[in-house]
Amino acid sequence: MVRRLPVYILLDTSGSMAGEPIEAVKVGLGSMLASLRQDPHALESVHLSLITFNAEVTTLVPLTSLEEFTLPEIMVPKSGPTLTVKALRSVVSSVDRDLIRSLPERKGDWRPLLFVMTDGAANDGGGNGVALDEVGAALRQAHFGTIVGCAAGPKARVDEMKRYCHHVVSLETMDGYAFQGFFKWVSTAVSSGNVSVGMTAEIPLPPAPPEMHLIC
Amino acid sequence: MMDSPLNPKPASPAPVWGFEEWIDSLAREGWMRVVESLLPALEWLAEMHDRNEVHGGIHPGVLMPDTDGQLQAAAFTQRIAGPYLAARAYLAPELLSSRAETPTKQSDVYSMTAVLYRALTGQSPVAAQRRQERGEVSVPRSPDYPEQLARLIELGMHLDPNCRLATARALVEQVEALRRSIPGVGSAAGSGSVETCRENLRDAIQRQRAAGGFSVGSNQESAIGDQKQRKEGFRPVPPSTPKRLASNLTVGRSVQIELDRIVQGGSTGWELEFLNLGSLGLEWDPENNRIVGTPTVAGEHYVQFRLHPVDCSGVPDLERQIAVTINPDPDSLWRVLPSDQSDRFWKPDLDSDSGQYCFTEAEIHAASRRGRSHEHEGLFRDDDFEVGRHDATGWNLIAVGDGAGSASYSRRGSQIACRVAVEALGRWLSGDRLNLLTEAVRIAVEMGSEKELRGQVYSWFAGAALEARKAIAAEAEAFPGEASIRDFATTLLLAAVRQVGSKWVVITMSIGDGGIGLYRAGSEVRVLCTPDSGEFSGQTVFLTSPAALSTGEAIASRQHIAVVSDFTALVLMTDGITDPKFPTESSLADLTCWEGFWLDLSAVARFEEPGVGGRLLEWMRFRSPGNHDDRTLVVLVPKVPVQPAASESEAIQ
Repeated sequence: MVRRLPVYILLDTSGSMAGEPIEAVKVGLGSMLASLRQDPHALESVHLSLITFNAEVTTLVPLTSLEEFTLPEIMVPKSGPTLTVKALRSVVSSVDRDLIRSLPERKGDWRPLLFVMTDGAANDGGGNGVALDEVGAALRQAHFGTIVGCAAGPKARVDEMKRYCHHVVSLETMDGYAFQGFFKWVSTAVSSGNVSVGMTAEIPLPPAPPEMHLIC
Repeated sequence: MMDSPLNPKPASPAPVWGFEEWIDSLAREGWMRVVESLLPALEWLAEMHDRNEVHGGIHPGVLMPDTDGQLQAAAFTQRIAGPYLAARAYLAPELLSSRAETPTKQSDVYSMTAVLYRALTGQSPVAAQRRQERGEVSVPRSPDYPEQLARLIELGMHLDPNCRLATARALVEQVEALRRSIPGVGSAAGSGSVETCRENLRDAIQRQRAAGGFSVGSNQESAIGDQKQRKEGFRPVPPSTPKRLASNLTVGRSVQIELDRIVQGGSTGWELEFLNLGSLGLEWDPENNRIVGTPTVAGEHYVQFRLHPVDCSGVPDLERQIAVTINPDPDSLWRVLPSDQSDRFWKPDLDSDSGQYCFTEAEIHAASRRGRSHEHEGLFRDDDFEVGRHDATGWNLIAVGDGAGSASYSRRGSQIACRVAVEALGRWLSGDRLNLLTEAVRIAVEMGSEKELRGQVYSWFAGAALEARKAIAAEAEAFPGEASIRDFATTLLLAAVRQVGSKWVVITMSIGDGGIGLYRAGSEVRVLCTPDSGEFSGQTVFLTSPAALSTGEAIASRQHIAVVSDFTALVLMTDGITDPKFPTESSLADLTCWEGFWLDLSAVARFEEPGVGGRLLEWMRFRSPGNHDDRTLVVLVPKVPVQPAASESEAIQ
């Protein structure tokens, strides 16, 4: 069996994403898939899972090979809270369940990648972000090759995302151009996700396009 | 092009009814007229339930009366999601909770009864729900309709799905029983017409069955034709079509798409005409009612087709399309871009050494080639190797290195490591150290004790590895601020091989992944490396990692000694070869795996003929999905020892 490169995409679909932003995200995801499908190595190894969160956490697509992946409908409620911590916890348990570890008679997956996109603050971050720190610690134990946060638009809380991400990038606007740039960049990062690294080193990231800032 | 969710409108210019005005006009004619008019919809749902199907989206918006005031089956079966904003009021309460359940027959019964409630009372079902929640009687009693009907609605809209009527069939039967039980009113005003309606339906179904089912291109009966009525006044129900094909296709991979993945449900009597299968490399197989073929064009496409109603003049054709993703064939995507020759650390994309290391007792062949993933990006070959010979003693020295894909100057790291290590292994062989080593080798060969040799090897190989690391550190320091030792991360496999009398002494050391195997055809393989993989692919240890050589134990555990009488080959290889050929630790120790590997390799390499290096490079192009790393292989093949008996006879001659 081909070694899988598991990629988790966690999307904030709270009310503020309704309308143009979510439409732009959908277009961005579509071009990310198209771009990854042009990468022969990715086509043979990348497995994607798409998870959305608002007041609920929904695994829209469980870990599925890029070859078989089809983009589902993404619904956004009109309003409601953003339960980021709940969503991240769900990612931790998905990864725990999904990942194939190496054994003497079995080759393990590549280390998984996680991309989190949110446009606002966590409503379940706890006092002083304690809950975010907790879930951040759990994520760090989950063997991710890298965890990238995308702070979309001016209301996204970069400080919160730093608590659970290895890297945070920001998009000034939430239009099609910005999301297109972000997801294109994600596909480049994913394409370089299956390389030898040390036991703990992070996967190197490609340079950020102009519509996006690499904050850390 | 998106389809209209509605059935084609009748050609006559008469006004199209909305549900409210239609139902209100019926209500003015009395409750019996309401029940009668909704009966076709009840019957459709009952038939769905009979077939064990669930509608899941019943609300007034799916009840579209035509100009004659009769409901259209088309709209009902289509499950229109909008634009009827109040649709939510008709959803069963269990579907509205935060842990929304999937629709069931009972939730259909709720929705259908809610429609009946709306028609009967003129109120939104929300009012009934509120009263239910307070535990009150939900349907107001009125002299305008019989109390049994109010009770029936309460039963159909019960908050607990388990207390509801189980299926729409039960609901139809209850409604009819009610019709019969109201003397006078029923027989006078409606009974006859309800019976007529049912008879008409049965009649229509019979005729439809006799006429043959859903047809595609031919008049064959198809699995998907449901037996919906199609009497005059009803329109054929078009099948529903998914927006997107549930599974993707791949160029060059043959595929069969069954009809039920294209159209589902609908009434009989539609012909399907595909419009663009040929341009996708597909065709319709009329014998088996499916699409077959081998896709030719990658990308986002639509399968377009036309639905043509048979025997139904005046109903226009429907055009439909289904999105489908066709993946490219990965093999067609690989590019070969040259690496940048002006780069500071450039080295050739291919390298081989063969014929140069041809000695009386053995030959060494080596080859290293840039992997497909690096060719695709115009990146460098990160692998490297070095072969050396200490002429005075006959020690053959081999190094193989694999630069980390994640480190920017690892191509230079592997190059330095291999060169310096082989050079250091050779330089060590002099003076007292050489004498001690030679004595330890003699003891190992003659007396079978490796303890002494182990002690000598420890410092010999550890010294070479440490020297290689120092050289890399020095290189990193030459570019202050630009690079650290981590940017030169590389693995390192080392071997020293010497024939001593009738024996072979093989000494190895490994840091990182890849593999070393001492293979004896038909009998055994000895793995002469220490696995350095983590829980996940790509996790390994590098020569440059501080932990790799941190303790005496760590160093000793990486060293291996073998003293053997003969062998077929000693093979050192990077993970570009072990991953596809020996994918797990177990397979590297598996003789069967080695036999397959060696048969394949030696058939192509033809080790006994000149020009092995070029043939090794050719062999290394083998395809293996997901394995596109640089590949490096060094093979030491002993020359077949002349049999003593034969040499004596030659001498005599």
